[in-house]
Amino acid sequence: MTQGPFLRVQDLTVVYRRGSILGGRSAVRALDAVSLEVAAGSILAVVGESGGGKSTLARCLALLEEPTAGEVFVDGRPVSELDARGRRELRPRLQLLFQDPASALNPRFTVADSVAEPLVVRRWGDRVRRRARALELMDEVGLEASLAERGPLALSGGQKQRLVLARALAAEPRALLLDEALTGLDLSLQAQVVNLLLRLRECHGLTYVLVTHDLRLAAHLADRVAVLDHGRLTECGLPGEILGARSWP
Amino acid sequence: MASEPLVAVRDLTVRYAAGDGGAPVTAVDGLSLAIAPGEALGVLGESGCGKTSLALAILGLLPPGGVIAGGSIRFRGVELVGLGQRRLRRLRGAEVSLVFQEPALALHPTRRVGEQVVEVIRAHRRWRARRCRAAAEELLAEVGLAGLGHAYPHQLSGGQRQRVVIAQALSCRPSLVIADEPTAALDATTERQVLDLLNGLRERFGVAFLYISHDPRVLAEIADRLLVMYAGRAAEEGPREDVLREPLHPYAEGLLACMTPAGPGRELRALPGRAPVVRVPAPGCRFAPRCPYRMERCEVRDPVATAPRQGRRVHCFRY
Repeated sequence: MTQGPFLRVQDLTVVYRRGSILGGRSAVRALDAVSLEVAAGSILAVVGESGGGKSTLARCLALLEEPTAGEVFVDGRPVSELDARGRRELRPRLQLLFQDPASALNPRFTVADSVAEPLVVRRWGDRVRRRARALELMDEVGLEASLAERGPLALSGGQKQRLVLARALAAEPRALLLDEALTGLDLSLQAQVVNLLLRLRECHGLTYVLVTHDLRLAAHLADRVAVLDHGRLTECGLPGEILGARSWP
Repeated sequence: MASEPLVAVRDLTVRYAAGDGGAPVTAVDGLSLAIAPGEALGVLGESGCGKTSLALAILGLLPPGGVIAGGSIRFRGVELVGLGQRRLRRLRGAEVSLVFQEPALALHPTRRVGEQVVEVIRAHRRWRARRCRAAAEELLAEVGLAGLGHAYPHQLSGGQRQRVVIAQALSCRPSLVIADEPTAALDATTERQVLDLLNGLRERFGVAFLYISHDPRVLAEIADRLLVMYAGRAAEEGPREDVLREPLHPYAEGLLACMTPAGPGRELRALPGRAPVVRVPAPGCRFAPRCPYRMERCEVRDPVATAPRQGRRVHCFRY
């Protein structure tokens, strides 16, 4: 495991410019000079209201968004210094997962094919080995082998989210960026997936960035919590300091 | 409290024809409940437990393939099962109204929100246009959208759109509002604002709520009583505080334990497995396969409701 933070952003600023049909232009500062770091193997929760810039941050960390200013460091290396090939190699290490797993799955692929797809992209092994690896990964996330030939639409919400997780693991990631990935799930399923995430972190030494508006989830999963408000980082610290000793009801 | 309930559902069973030609799916299975005038009943359950089917059945809005296979739904003493569409239509929107989870789907995208509130009023009241417009403006102000009647849905945020739908739902002063996860798509702050709004409106207008949610925290804010549903049946019912503080049914206990903070990095107490889809109702407790307290009789006989505490009803052999 590396010393120091695995992910770091320094003065990260993202400005979206919108042109209107009348010729006027407006700019939205989605992120405004945000600096924070995520230690290797830790869980950072990013919380805040809708439109606060949480998803933009996740997209920057996944190298899917070009910052207007500032820098993203992965494992201590600034991303802007990487050439196209370097980025292409780094991107699979940073897997982004969304709230709606159904929209991230090809309805015409079987479950096993979906999981094996990153292996195909990486030209990993042959058909037989890829198939075996896909079944291994399915087992790891708790999907029965009997589901392998089903289409993703036949799965329940929790099973789809597990499938997306298995596929992300096929890329051998170092970090998972979970953009409200636990939000739509029922409580009992959410608890199952939370436990799965914790187990996977142990086995694979994964780092998590959890984007959520669920403060309860943040309080009990995260090592650190960052609060984004209108693109600015307003607070960052231990969950207890920021969210207080929350209990319910 | 009034002795006659506003809504009384007895032994309601809702079935859907299976898409694959197999045995029909039983979504609601012999469910009974009652809501007093002005009372908020929270229905707690996870996806597929039948809570939305329950709501749609009360409104006579089950989708094609869905039928009320048995039981009775009485509203102010009038039987709704078997009532003609015309009479149901007069009831819906006026006496009983509905707020869905996704306000964007309930609003017309190319019509101003004010007009859309007017439309609901005109459907039920024989008022002049000017009076309808004035009433709509008043309603929009009531839900915190004063002066926004000219806006189109896409110009509003998710929370504001949900307020428009709430204004529509309240436009004819219904005595019951059925709310199906109305805040599930909203962020924490907006959710809180909408819940505050609903609570405020409830006090002002004395409207009763059937509030459906999978989130006990939301129901803790709004419900007087809770009904926990599992696989189409009632698991437990009682005053909100009591059910949340001391759940008696093993399913309610497991569901609430899922939310108890375990500390950073510690595993949660997750319920193993998942809820069944009931095709051919067999005797025995639906929760038995996942239940940590399972006994032999749980798998062969249906548990009967007992009342182990004041005001509580539990379907479990342990009580």
